[in-house]
This record gives sequence, C-alpha cells and structure tokens, in this order.
Amino acid sequence: MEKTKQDFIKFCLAGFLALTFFSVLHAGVKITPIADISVLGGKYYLDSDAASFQGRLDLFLSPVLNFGEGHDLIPVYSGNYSGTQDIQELAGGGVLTRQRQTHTVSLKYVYTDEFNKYKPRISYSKAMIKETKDENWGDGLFDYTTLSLGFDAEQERPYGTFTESYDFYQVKYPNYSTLLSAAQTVIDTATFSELSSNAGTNTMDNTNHRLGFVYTWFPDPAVMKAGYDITYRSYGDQALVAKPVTGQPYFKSDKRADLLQNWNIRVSRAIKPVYLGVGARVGWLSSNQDSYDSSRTKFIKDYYSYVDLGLTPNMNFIFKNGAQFGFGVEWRRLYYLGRLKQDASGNYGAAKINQTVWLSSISARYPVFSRFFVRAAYNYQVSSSNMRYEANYRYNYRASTYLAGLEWEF
Amino acid sequence: MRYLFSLILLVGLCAQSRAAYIDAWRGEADLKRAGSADWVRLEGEEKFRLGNGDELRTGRASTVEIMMEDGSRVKLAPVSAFKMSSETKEAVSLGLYFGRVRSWVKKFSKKFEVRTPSAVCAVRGTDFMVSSDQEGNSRVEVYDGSVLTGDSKGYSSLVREGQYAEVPAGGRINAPRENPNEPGDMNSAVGNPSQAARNEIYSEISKEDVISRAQEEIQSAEFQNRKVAIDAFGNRVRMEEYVIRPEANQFKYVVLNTREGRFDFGKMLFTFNAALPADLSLATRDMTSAAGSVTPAWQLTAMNSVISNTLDKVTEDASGGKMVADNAGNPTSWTHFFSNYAVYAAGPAEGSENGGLGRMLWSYSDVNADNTVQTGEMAYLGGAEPTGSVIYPGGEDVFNTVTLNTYSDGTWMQASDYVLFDDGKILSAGDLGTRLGVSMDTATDKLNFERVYTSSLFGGRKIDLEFSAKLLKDAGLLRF
Repeated sequence: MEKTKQDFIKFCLAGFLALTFFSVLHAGVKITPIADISVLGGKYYLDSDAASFQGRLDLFLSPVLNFGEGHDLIPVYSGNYSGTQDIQELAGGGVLTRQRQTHTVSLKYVYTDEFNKYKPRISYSKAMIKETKDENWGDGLFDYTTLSLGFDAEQERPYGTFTESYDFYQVKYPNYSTLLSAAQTVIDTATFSELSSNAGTNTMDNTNHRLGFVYTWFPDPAVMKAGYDITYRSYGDQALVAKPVTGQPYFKSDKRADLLQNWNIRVSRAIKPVYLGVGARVGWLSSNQDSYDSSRTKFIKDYYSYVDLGLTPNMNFIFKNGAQFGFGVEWRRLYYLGRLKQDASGNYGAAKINQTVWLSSISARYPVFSRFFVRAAYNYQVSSSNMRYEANYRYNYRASTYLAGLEWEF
Repeated sequence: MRYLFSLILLVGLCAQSRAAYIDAWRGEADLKRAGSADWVRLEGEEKFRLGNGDELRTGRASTVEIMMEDGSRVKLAPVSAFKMSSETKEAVSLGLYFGRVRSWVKKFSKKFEVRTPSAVCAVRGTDFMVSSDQEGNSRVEVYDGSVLTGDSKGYSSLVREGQYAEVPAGGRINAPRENPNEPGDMNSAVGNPSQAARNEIYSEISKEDVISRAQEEIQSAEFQNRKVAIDAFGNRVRMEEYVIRPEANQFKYVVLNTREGRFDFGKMLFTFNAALPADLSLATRDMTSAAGSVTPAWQLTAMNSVISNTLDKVTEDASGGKMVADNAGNPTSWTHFFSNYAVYAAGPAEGSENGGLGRMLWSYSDVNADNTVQTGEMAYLGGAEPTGSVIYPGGEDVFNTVTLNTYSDGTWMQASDYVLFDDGKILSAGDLGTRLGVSMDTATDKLNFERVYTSSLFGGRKIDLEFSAKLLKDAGLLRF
C-alpha cells in the first residue's frame, strides 16, 4: 500500500516535469522565469544559551508558463536550509540547534475568466530535520512528507474580492512509529498484550481537509481582509487514550480527530511610504484526544484542545528604490481547555494552562546592486505561562535571533 | 449669419459622429462630462459617446472599452483614471492620470498619442500599453509596431515591439529594454504579469508554511506529552510511558526508550493490599511515606521491577511490604518497608537463574520482623559484602554519580545516574538556586532521570533508560 502511494507521488512528479518540458517545446507557450534567493547568516539564543553562528538559505524558482490569455501554469520549486532555529518555531522543546531542509515542488494552473480565477494545484514536500547529535539527514525523528491537492477560486468585484479554497493534505512521518509497535518481541507477552490492544503504529501521520474563505474590501483609505478557515485533521493510526481501568486496554478503539477553526481580520492603510496594518485572530482547536501522565498517574481529559488569540500590529516603510524597513509585534495568548497546570515539581493544580507569547521583529532590506538586496532581521520573543513544570517542554523562556545577508530577486 | 450658424452646427454634428464612444464596460465605471463637476455611474445598455475633455474612471474589477471613429480600440484597466483629451480628424490625444490603458491603433490611421503626467507616447499603427502610478511614474510596453515616447524634459526614445521604457515623474526617460513580460491582464489591477505570478507563488509558499506550522505544533506536543527528550550524551531519546491495571489491586508502569540502534525498557508491577481507586495518585502519593495517625488505606505489598536492553536485565523484586508507624502506640507518620528485597542482574547466560529473575547480587530478608535491616539479614553474591565506590565525574556539584559494586566472585555492576534538563544538560547544584529555585529533593521531581547500567555479566553492552523520576522515586526505586 505504502509502495503504491510512493509510486503515485513519483508519477505525479514525473508528470509535472514532463508537462513542463513539453510545454516549453510548445511554440505558443511564453515563459517568464521568476526566482528569489536569499543567503543569510545568524544566531539563535534561548535564554542564556546561544547556538553557534549558522547559515540559512531560502529560494524559489519558477518558469511561469503562459499558454495564452487567461491560461497560466506555474511550476515552482522552493527549497530551504536553515542551520538555526526559526524564532516562530516552538522553542519549548529545548532544542538549541535545529537544522532543517525542505524541498517542495508544486504545480498550479491559473485560469482567468475576466474577474474570476480558478486555480487547481498539487504539491509534494519533504522536510528533513536534524536536532540531535545522532540524527543524520533523512533519518530525523520528525522528518515528514506532505502531499497536497487543492483548488482555489477567486472573484474580484468592485466592492471586494472573495476567495474560497479547499485543500487536502496528507502528512507522513516515515521515521516515527510508536515504540510499542517495536516492543512486541522484547517485552513479555502479557505486558505487550495488555498495552497493545487498539494501539496504532504511525500515530503522528495525519490527513487534513481544509476549507478557507477570505473577503477583502476597500473602505477608503483602508484595506480590510476577513477570513475564516476550518480544518478537519484525522490521525488514522492514533487511538484515544483511555483512563486506566482494571482489565481494560490502555487505548480505546476510536481514533483521534481534531477540528481547527480560525477567524481573522486585518486592516491596513498606506500613508506612503508608511504602510500600517493590524490583524486580529481567534483560533480554536477541538480534539477528542485525552492524555495520561503515567509518571504521576493522572488522567487529563481534553489535553490538546485550546483557544488561541492573536494581535499583530505592524508598520513598514517601503521606498521607491526598493528599500524596506519593518517593525512588527505579535501578541499571542493560548488557553488550553483541558490541560492542567503543574507546579515546579510537577504536582497538578486545578487551573488550566495558559501561555502568552510576545514576538517583536525588526527587519530591513536595502538595494545594493541591480536586483541584489542586503537584508537583516532581529526577532525577540518572550513566552510566559502559569505552567511551571518544564522537565520536557519549556513554557517560560526568552528567545531571539538575528539574521543578515543577501537576497537576489529575479 | 444664419448659414454660418448652420454650417458650424453641421461641422459639430459631423465631429460628434466621428467621436469615440464607450463600447463596453464592466463593474463600476464613472463618466464626467467636460465642464461638469459631477461623476455619473455608467448604467444601462447605451453606448455613450465621448467628447473632448470627457473623463472616465474605473473601480476595482471594472474596465471600460472605447472605440474610436477609425476603428482603433482602447481598454482602460481597473483602478484607472483617463481623459479623452481631444479627437479630431487628424489626431487623437488621450490622457492617463493613473492606472493602465492599452491601445490597439489602426495602421495608417491618424496620429494617436497617450499622455501621462510624465510621458507622451505617440504612435502610428501599433498595440501598446501605457501605465502611470499615483506618483506619476510612467511605463510604456509595446507589443506591436513602435511608439515614440517622450518625457517632460524634452527627451524621447523610440520603443519598439517587445520593448518597454520607463519614465520617472519629472525625470528623463530610461533607455528602452527588452520586455520579459507578456501583455498584462487588462482585467486586473495588477498590471505586471511577473508580479501577478509572484503573488501566486507567495500564496503557494504560504500554504506550505501553514502546513509546516501545524506540523511543528504536532511535534511540539510530543515534547509536551513527554514522548521526546535528549539524553546526557546529546542523543535523541524517545520515551513512551504507560500505566495499566492488570488486577484491581495492581498497576504496572511501563517505560519504553529508543535511541539510534537501541531499545531499552522498564516495567514495574506494583501490588497493593486493597483494590486501588480510579485515581491512582491517591495511592501512589503515600507509597513511601505518609502522615497521620491512621494507617494509609493503600499499602504497597509487593513490587517487581525489570530494566532491560532486551538482552540484559536488572531486576528488583520485593515482597512483604507494609507501612510502619513511627510510634506504634501513637502514630504520626508512616514509612514503607519491604520485608524481603533482592536485586538480580543477568546477561543472556544468567537469564534463567532464580526462576527467571537472573543472578542474585544482593538481598535481605527481615527474619526477625523488626522492620529494619540488620547486617546478618543481608546476602551477597559470592558471600562477602561487595567493595563499592561512588564517584562524581563532573564534581560533587554535578548530578552525575557513578556507583560501582564489585562482588567477591569478581562480578561487578556499575550504575551511572544523571539528572537532566529537557535539553540534555546535566543538573548541577548551581542550577538549584538560580535556574530552578528549589531544593535538591524537589529538583529531581522536576527533571528527567537517566540510568546507565554496565556489568561484567552484560558482555560489554549497557542498559540505558531515561524516564521521569517521580513515580520510581515515590516507589523507593530511586534514591537521591
């Protein structure tokens, strides 16, 4: 089965490349090459610890194919290598150095019918992550592949623009399977049979269906954008954790499913060369999964569900010569709906965990030659929480990054 | 005079009949007649004629197409403002305040020009587009024929088919260049096809970013749920911990570890004197000690612990457990005591000894039932008490102890213990006050514990298990 899926992905990619190649041969096709490459270097700091100076490379390449008025095919390769933690990556795992490379190929067809656009798309992505001394490229615990299919529609009208999208994506973690699934031959039969009933193997693999709606309108002099999206995420091999009961299995027969919804609104205004904007967001993840803390024999219902509030004001200066300076703040507050707070020694309290994250960013881009720009960015993040138990995950920390380098835009 | 008036009227009518007209429009387009201050929204099916000085503007998703008397055609893109400057028998002059206008001009027709705040584009027979931004910067793209483009300083260049030229506001025209772009979509406010394509690419990358963020959150939950850690050697450790309840008065704690190329596990079966409550913590919190005058309801009576690397194992087996009062007549606190306790170790060769427990290293049995362990109640492998040593490889301030016991028959076993932060850093005394703000005893509850066993019985292999210390400490299996 797995082999068949891999073959399907390879088939899609081969088709994608063949289509691109034959399109180029086709006399009526016009090609517009687009590329963007940035090479940056910098450091990541977590509390008083600093990672070593590392590089970062981001690029995308696309030969945009135009088949005539209203028909465009956009194949894109995008790649990324990062030797440093991204400030927005969740730092709580305590990993100071996280090398990561991602490779994505995608194909998007854009059909334009006057003021309407229809965009079917497909993409395949592979992310490889090295976090510890013993991980090599390709065998990282959290390596994953993503196959994504989707369809976007857009209607531009005098009073506003509507965008609707549907995306299906399937994420697989080839190096992550439960330890229990590997324990059959090594722990005794009785213990294994007590534990393994209903237990899955590939518990992180997830399948997603996402519906998104965005409406943009223009109450002069501002631009407003409101959006809603809903994602149904199922973990086909992750069984629900049961509260331990004599003679009952550790896992239930039902599988985990999450429903994630986001509401957001953004207003922006240009007072050239200053561009001001502020966005607000409410997110709600509802999961049917619970958790059991074996070390403290505590069952925690609704462990994963949360409500997430966000506010993001920002100000950018954009000059005619391409120079840009940006300042931004992101405030985020996370309320876990069932996850109980613990004191520093791990004793559970009655209150639920909340977490507040402040992220401030300064960035600059300045043209130096032709299409080359120097870029620099500094980010500073503070996370605080009422959760004091941090043996495995840090809820309270300060992190910062600085990055500087060159960008080439074509 | 009457004839003269009639002649003027006739000429005027003829001029009107030659005038351009609005052939089609979409969305919201407004017309302002010459001499009027009011904008009027175009409505209905009427094909409005355009006179000299009339102005047009388009909103978003709105276009206007204009037909000239000679068959030339002009299309105004969304968010554009335009003026029909003049149309005569010899020439047409159009003004573009901002936005984009594309013109398909009949060959061998009259003179045709488009003026912007910074440029004048004059042409005979061509297909070209002129754009002007809000600041007055202009750009002309020529798709067929050629266009003579001039700036406000009097300089001019001939822009040929396939070329474009830019004219900055108040500045000099740039030299024409090869135009890499196809003609822009005149229905879109984004005139630059490269920019439009770039927007699509950013949208695609943004979708991948959303997926990536979701996966990071899922990965993070593995840390939050105690499934991933880093060991004392900087290596990835995956942990899974389970509690199951085989019988009403029992629970079993199972911890599984994997690292690169190895698998270790531990399983501890706890047996109590009575059926356990639904909330096991009510029983486990008083396992080793309890306060009060009443005997704790749940007393640990037996315990069996196995830690293994799948080939070698260390087993601790205890029975006869009970809570012992500090003062039998007037108890205020209780301490747990096992009457019988034994520790075994085994490689593959010793695994079947002692009924599968392995080779006994040491044991005691409280023969006189006084709830204490006397020297005479101890037994050791080889008979004599082993020689032992405890060293601190990182110094006494660092929570890494190495305990070595060598038995009189030459068998030895070493236990290396580490107390670890989430990033694999080993706890030191300095962290207690500064980083943790707690005492040594509670620090071990907060952090992870790693035990590495080596032994002369293990054939050079080791048992290496990382787990949360709390439960095992409560059970008396870990002592700090």
